[in-house]
Amino acid sequence: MTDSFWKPAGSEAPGTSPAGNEAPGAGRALPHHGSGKGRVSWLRAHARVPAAVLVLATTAVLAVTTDAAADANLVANPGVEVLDGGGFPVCWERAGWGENTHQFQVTGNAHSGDHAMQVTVTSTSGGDRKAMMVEDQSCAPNVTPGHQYDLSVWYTTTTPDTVMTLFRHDVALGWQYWTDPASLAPTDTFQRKTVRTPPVPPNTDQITWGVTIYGVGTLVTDDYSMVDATLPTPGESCSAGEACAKGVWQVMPFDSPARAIHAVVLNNGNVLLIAGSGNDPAAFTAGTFTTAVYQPRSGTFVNVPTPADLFCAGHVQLSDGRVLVMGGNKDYPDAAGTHGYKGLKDSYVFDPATNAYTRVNDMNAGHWYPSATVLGNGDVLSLGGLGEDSGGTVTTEYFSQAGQRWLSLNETRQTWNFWGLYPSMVLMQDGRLFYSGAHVFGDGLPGTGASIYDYTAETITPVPGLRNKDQRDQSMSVLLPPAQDQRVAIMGGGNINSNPDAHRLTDIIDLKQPNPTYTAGPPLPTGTLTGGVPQTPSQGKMYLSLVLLPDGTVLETGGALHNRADPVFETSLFHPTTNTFTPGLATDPVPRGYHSSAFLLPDGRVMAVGDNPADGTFEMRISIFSPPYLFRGSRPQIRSVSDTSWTYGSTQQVVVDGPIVKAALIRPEAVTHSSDPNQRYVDLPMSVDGNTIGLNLTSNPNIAPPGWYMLFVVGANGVPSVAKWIHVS
Amino acid sequence: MWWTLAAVATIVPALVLLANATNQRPVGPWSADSRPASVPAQTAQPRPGPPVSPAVSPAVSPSTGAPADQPATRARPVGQSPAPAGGGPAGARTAGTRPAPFTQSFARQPGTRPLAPLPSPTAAHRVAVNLDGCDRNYGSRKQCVPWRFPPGPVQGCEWLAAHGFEPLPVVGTDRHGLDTNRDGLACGPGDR
Repeated sequence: MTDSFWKPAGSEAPGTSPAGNEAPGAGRALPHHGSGKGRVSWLRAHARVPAAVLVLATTAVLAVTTDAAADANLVANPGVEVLDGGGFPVCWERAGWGENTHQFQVTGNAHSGDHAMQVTVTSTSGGDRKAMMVEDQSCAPNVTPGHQYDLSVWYTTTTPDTVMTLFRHDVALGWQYWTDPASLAPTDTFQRKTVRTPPVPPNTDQITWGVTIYGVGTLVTDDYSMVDATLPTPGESCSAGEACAKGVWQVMPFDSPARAIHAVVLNNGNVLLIAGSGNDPAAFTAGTFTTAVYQPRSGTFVNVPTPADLFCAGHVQLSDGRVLVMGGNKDYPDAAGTHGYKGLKDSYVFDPATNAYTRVNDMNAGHWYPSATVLGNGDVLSLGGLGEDSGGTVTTEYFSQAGQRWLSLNETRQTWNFWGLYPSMVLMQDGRLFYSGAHVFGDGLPGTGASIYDYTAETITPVPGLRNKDQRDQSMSVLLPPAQDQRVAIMGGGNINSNPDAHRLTDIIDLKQPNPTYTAGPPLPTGTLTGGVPQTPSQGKMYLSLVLLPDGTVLETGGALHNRADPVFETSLFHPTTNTFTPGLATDPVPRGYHSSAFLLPDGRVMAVGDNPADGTFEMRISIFSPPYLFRGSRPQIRSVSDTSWTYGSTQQVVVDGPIVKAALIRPEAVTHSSDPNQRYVDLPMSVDGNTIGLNLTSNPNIAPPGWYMLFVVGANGVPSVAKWIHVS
Repeated sequence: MWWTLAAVATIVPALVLLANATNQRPVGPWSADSRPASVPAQTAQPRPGPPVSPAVSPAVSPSTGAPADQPATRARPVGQSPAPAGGGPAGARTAGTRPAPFTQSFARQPGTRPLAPLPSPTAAHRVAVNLDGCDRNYGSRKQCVPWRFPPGPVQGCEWLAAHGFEPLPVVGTDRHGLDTNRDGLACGPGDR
């Protein structure tokens, strides 16, 4: 018996059990159909099906009811067999937008039964079309927040430009876009695509979904299925004492040989620590510039000859894993005060395979404290900082991935805007850049302090809502997990000139909204100052670090209260799904203020380095944090990955050794001064078949710019695997 | 043919059909007049570049049929063993089966205007002398006496002593008034 509308759902018998079709915990009963949602009574309410057919079908159901253990299919009219008076499947609707020539029709070329849904696009200049479940109380499947569902559909398509699309009903905000978890590969015979939803967000009671076609071709879909696939959490309790809730910090028995002002995690698991002159004018005068590569496997360091004073440079990993380093320190301010810091035009590429720098061509202008953002095509935009004359640099630099060079001025698009120092530019899903307002030194930019920058259009459009925009000096901003949700958080900050107490404000913006606006998030938890003095309720931190963790949470740690002074001892976890902090994690015993950083290691631990207080000393101790998840049970093992080179829109097979709740690619950090705008966590929706899991990579390079990522899977106990390095292109 | 580039200049403002319509911003490579020389010629599925604004890209008529590179998408011969329930082909796809990026029309900022464009600069953009928050009138170049002391009862020499500073030579102007006996040493013996 093939999937069809008449297939019994578990133990449900037609016409009985008022609660038969409600998901557990769905809350209020749906009011439309009197005593309940037995399928036959519901069908009478909706379909124009002759009574004789109903009787026949009911008999068929009774005859073929098999064992009661099959999971309930939550999709109404899943085989699109039942048609309304207009000949269109009940509980389905034609959706989409844009200038395209298209046709929806019910076709007899079905996977099972008599009908399937066909959508044809014959020409397009944009937009998409999709058959979606009707967004009403009757048709849309009910869901439970926190649960995950396996969605599957049988389909054929002539175009690869198809993607499963999900919407969700927020109890306060109504129906809205949720996510598009998987592309569907072309096939002319019916294939089945199954993908597991992310955990349903809070305040969600229903979802709808369908398959979107956004290119020229014909898509046929049939036999939709949706079953609750939530894995039980193992009942084992953590026996590691305080570590279970707070994690553990360990100070390493060896120091860093270089002042770790810049830290870049490399695609071989090593960490590039760049000092240059390390904020030591004497080293600068002597021409002593240092770089060290930390090798976690052996706990050893390699000293790397450093060709220029890369102190205050910018850095980003290129698609091939080498590190592009741009700008740096051409000079310190002179004693007489005739000039300030000066920026270098130099640029180098560091190769992790050889531990060596190679010079590339110069940028058009000097940059001291430039930011760098990698784009969806692998090119790099670099902005901001001070020039060779110690004035503000207004030149935008563009590094071509294909040409491996900085473009000359007449090949670039300029706004001539001064972006400040280390301006944090986050790549959006359509290729524009979001300036979050996080920066280094002094006031924010004039206006709202945040904006959307369109490089190609040469426009900068203000974004409202950022609180205390002139006290976001060495705040940190990050694209919250998952990147697909397009939400950015900015936390803390101060002002080294006016030198107030750093604050606790966290602002969050949803870049999926038509007019994105920062809204208030929860305040940073308070910690203690030197000597165990508790912070007052208005005291927060600047110089903090935000680190994306494999389980989708964000570690927040380190920081200080004032300009190069008064370290704050406080560590917490931020949960993007609930917008809340878990406060009170174990704290780094080592102060981490100015010139400190923290970053994720491939084994799921977090390393913290640096601190450069006002008296000119530098902290050489290294701390490593083991988050609570490492104490909750055994780690899942990635037994094999079918391929380590992934292409956009592909499904990649991995074999694991147990139940997995999520998988993600995390971009390795390249961080300095609380600035790493490229840090991101790309969700990999799963197509689960026992221990063989298909991981669905987004089709959009602006979600996952090309390069090397750490693949993590997370077990049902919340413990992440060790990372496998994956290349995306 | 890169379908998403087609007719950017001729897009009709979309009718919103339903509350759940998602919008997709056209994504495509550089327009012909601004493509950097170093970007390689695009092949079957060109890598998307920065988004193209309507004012810049040339008008291109919509594609009229399946792109020439698509016949290979009839990929699966009859009788092939079924893919695992995970669905989809394992590993890398052949050119022509890679989907175009699915982008959404988010954050279009309707009703807002960009900042006025700036002219090409004719002078340096000045920044504050005390850009790094340090008062270089005191001590060596690697020390950072704060330009402004943080709020609170502990200020001046008391603050500096609490933060690891010894008495400091005054190398410029005694802005903070730390060298009250004017012997050239800030926070030295004899200074209040």
